[in-house]
Amino acid sequence: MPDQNAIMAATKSFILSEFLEGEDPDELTEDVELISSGILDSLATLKLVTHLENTYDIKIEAHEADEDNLNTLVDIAKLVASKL
Amino acid sequence: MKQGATKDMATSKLSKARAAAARPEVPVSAAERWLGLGLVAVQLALVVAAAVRYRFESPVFQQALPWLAAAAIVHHLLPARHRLAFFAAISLATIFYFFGISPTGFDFASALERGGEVVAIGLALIALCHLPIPFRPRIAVLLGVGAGLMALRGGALFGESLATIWPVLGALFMFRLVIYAHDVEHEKGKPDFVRAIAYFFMLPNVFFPLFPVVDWKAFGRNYYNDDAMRIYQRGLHWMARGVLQIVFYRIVYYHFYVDASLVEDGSSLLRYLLANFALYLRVSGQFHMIVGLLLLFGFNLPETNHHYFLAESFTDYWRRVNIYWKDFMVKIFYTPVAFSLRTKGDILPGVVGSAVAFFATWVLHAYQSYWLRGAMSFSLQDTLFWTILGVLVMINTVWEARRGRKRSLSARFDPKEAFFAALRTMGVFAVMGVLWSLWSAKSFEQWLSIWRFADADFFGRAAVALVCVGVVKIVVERLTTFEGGLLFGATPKGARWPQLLRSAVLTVLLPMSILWVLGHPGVHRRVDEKTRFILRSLKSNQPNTADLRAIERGYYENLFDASKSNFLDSGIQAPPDWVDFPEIEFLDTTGDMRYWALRPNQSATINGYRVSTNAFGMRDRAYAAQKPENTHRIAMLGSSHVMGWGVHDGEPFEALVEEGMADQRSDGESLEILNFGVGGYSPVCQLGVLREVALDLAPDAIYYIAHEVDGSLAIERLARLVQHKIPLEDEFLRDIVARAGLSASMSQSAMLRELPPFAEELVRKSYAKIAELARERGAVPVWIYMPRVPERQPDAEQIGKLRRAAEDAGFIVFDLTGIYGDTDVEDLVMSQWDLHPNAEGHAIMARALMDVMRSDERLGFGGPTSGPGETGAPGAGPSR
Repeated sequence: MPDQNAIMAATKSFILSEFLEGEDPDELTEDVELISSGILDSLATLKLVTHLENTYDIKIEAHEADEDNLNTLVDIAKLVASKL
Repeated sequence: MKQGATKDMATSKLSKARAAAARPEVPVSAAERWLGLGLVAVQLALVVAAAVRYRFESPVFQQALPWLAAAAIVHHLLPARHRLAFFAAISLATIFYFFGISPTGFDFASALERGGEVVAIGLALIALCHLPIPFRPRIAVLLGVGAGLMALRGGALFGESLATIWPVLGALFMFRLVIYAHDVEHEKGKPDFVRAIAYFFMLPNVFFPLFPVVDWKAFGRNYYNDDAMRIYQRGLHWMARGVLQIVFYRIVYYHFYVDASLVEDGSSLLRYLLANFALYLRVSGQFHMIVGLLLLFGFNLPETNHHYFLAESFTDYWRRVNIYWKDFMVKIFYTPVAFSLRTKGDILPGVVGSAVAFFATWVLHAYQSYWLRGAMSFSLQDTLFWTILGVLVMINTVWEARRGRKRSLSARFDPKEAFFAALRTMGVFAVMGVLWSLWSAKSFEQWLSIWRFADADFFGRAAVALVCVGVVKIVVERLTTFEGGLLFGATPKGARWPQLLRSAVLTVLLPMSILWVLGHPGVHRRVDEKTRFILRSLKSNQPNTADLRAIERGYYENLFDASKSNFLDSGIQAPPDWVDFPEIEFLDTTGDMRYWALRPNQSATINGYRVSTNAFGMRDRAYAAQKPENTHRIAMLGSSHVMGWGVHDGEPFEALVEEGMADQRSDGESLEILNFGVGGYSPVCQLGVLREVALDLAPDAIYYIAHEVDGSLAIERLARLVQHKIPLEDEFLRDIVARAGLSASMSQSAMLRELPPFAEELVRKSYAKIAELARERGAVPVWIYMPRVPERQPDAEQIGKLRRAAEDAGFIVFDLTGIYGDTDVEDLVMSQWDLHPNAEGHAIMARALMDVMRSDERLGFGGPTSGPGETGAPGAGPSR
């Protein structure tokens, strides 16, 4: 079972390749706000959730796909870890 | 074991990182913190002073704002554990305060009763969200109760007694209850009722029916989630931005706006499109003030609107223009729908989710209208606007799903990207400007009709305007990427003293000081008249000329319908228990050309004012039917201004003049001025007044009080007389009716479409007949143009026509244009929703009228005779 750091690393890689092509990976730190800054809009959030569900074989509810759970890499890792 | 330890370490590391990111303190020492608070207090005082000086929206809010600002400072000084409860208590107090405000002082009984009703119903609704039953049945109960409340709002039961509370209850609960019921279902732990009370009754919602839809989770999550000083600085920045946006809105509203009916060429068409689009500044200005104030209480909420004129795509526009609404739609409609379809590919979920969100937006705007105004509103323009915008957003969504959207982790300025962004912005701006004009048009037909003026001149000017938008986009892009937007005075996370000070100076202290100085009466006295007019307009909260006429049209039409008048779409409305003139109990239809008249010997308190009638049905003291000997009797004819709608008995200017001139007859006679004014009376009605009552009381003079709207009022009243088959005694009236093709079977609006070409003739012949009837009985006809208070820019051409008509009819003519001088309109009217003059306004009218009476010895008050054609009151203004 992957730990939170591994989840963070994998998610960071996914976000960089899908939504932030060409951006400096070092700038995507664990506290960068993804939803409130507009990097993850509703469509991108949906894509990320589908990726997390498929990758970790978990189910994320609609009400969980919000700023509380997906705003930073840390938040995402915590949500995924809580479902493993 | 190893795995658990790793997890703990990771969690610990994450927690530390997050904590460090979240709350770096700004001032370190106690002295610095006091200094920071002092800086906040100074800025807050300046913002409040500017907001009050510029009359930020409703007078009730202006009165409350200094107290709310003081409460914010007290809130900060309290121990952190008591702050939320204090905010909740202050919020509840504003509810009671709001209901206690009345035109005649603070009404404690109303405050307790109405405030108590709102709070009790509100608490019951919150409790329903926590019923210990499964989610779906709980939602069913809420929907049932909501439907019941909507039925009550429609007047099904307790219509009169609960009428005042519905807009407030609706504003507090109509959307937030949906979010709350949704979110608490998934919340862990015990319900936090203090937070719930703070959330639902949050100040300053009660003062703003149009309130951003605050998210329950964001409300809790962001509470003091950053250093307090940074949150406050951000809040002050937004409040100041709110004041500035309202001032910009007024520049557009008073000086650029063109009503659709006045579009006559390419230039005015462009002005109409641009100004209509820019009028949204009022909403965003309000939202910035509201959310800025909430930040001062620690709720570090996100921005409500962000550079929406500079959106680069339609989805971008949707994300920027009303961010809280977009978030609400995403949470309640888009995400559940898109989630349920997320296995169906990349495009379908987004498209269907967007379609559902826009359909919901359209329906919920009508639902909002129902709660705030009491009537659903589904116009063709609404439907087209939301449908077209929804389709554009869906197309944009598909495009982004296929091609991706450029995102960036850091703000960088790339000239090439900025250029293409500017091109996209120009396109979105053009389309949204056109769409916005459709949405705000009075009818689809009217909107279509303005496009016949889209000539080469229009397209040339529009191209220049769009290039300007593009340039602004590039400049803003450059500035926002320069040092993280610090040139704009941004307060980013982690900002420290130098940045906070820069923000304080650039975004609050400097602009608010300039604004405060520009609004100072001393400055107004030192500038020329044109500049003074512009500066004063920035402080005005009154309708512009076009809206004033629209309101009057509505007002006079409503006189017959007895419906509540709304102040256009501004959100400023009369209290539900406000009595419009036709609703007063002692108004009877007469069956003659007056159409209606006041019932004799009545007395009642209306909107807080004592209104009494004498034995003749005049709003006046008692008079003998037989004129006493050695008495000069004047019959004063007019409408609601003469009657004194909005002041106590004894305060109409007619009564003040009678008292002030009582011993000034040059022949030593006593003076009687009989007040025949009744709301809604037009020149046509005055013929009925003379024949039915006034001439029988043997007046020595007839004083006809004219207004700029005499023409429109005359045709509206004539249409009503025709519709009610009231006999027209005058041949010229029957002739006009015949030539206009009117019949009793036609609707009022159909008749009003036919009559405007006859308005001038109708006024001229009515004036001539009034003067003729007066002379037949030996009374001197006197015509006095009395400007209404909001007429800062009188229509000189229209007044000139009325005056010539009066002169040709043989009246002695006086023109009192300009009598209100530099006095602020707001100080002279009853309220924001009823622009009739208050007691001070009547005092000014009385002084001006007494001046002209003394100035012309033909009136018998001893003054020198003016020359022929002459007219005017000393000191009554330059345009006489």
